[in-house]
Amino acid sequence: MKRYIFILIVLMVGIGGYFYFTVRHAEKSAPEQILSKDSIILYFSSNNEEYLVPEVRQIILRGHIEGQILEVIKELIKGSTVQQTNNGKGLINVIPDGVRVNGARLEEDGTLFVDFSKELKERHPGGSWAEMLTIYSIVDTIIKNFPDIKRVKILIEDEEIETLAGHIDTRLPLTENKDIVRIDDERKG
Amino acid sequence: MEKGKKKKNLLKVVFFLPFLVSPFLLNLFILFLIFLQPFLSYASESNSTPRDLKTIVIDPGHGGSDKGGEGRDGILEKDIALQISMSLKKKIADKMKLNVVVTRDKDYDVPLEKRVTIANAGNGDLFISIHTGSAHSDELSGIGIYYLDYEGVGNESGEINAGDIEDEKKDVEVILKDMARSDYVNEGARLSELLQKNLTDIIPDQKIILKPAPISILKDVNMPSVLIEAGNITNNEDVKRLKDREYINKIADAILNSIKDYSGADEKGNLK
Repeated sequence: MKRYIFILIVLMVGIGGYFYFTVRHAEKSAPEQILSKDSIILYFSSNNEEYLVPEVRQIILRGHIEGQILEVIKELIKGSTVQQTNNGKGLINVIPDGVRVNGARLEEDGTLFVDFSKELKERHPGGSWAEMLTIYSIVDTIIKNFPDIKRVKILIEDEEIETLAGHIDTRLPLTENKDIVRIDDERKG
Repeated sequence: MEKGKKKKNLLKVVFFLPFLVSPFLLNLFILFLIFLQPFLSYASESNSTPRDLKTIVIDPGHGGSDKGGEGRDGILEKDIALQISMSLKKKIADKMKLNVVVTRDKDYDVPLEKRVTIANAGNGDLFISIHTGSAHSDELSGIGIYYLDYEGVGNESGEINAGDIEDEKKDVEVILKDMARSDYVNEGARLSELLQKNLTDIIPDQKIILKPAPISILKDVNMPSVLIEAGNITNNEDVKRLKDREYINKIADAILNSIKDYSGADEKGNLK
């Protein structure tokens, strides 16, 4: 009897051990889990250039917050991807062609310094409202997606600028502008 | 003389003593003034008499190497701005008894800070910056009128840190300056509305937008201010208008009429 009990115990330990080690091995060699996508909000201009409209997009955000901010800005620079609206016209990207985001630095007080290439200034069409749309497309997009950021300071080639194209004051960091946004026009991309 | 001086000093001590004893009280007083000032401005507006005008500052935008916006056929914002400004200057000289200061009278560079210096040193009572507009798409047409609002004035630069008190007199000066700026904001908004009305009257077929915007130069001049964009240089229809001398003069007439309305001048341009 004792012999049978002994054999039973050995079998149980053996089978248990087998399953334990094989499952562990399966876990280690399993492919890396696919991270879930994040919904981000990007602000583009309405086609009549009167206000900004939010567009929702799914991307994967990972890593340090400054890296995530750069990814969001790169999506903004790509422009709207939503199909044309009912009136046959899509949203307008108010960041000029060829603009690159060079870097972002978040200060402890919630101020984000974001540096763009010179094309943001040199290729901007000018005009007060056109500048407003560009500036707040950037500022509102950042603050909407990263609530810990309170204000955004725009730099061009790591230099401070007085205005973007001669009109709107960019000497000090800018806070979110909700008046320039129309929410009921939200697009999903 | 000494007694009078002693009395003044005594009054100062009596006034400031509570604040010296309690910095908390001083903070409270300053915050009270800050919150109260918009209401003071609005209250005075309903019974206000037109501002006494002596000097108008006209600011033709851009200039020299700063071309401003550029139309497809080479039309330049800086040239149109100068044309409108010179037309306006002449009309004011002919029809109103006002001094006119211009930040430039030919095609040369004038940095923003120099324009501000010219305006402030000239003791201007109104600052009118003249531009053309520009848009991301070439379909957008219209005249833009821009003014400061409280968001533009604030924008982090107008905040007073009540906790950082060292000199009571200095803080009172800051408060008074901020209250003056609020007055400029209200008056600038009023001038903007008059511009919208007069431009609509003279150029009824042109779309006109009126919007607040944190425009750098408007924030820096010590007087009520507006910025006008007389049509979009990126739009073909607007460019046709801007090339028409009659249109340029119409814009100048609308601005002139707005100054008259603002000042309460009669039809002959006589100020009260």
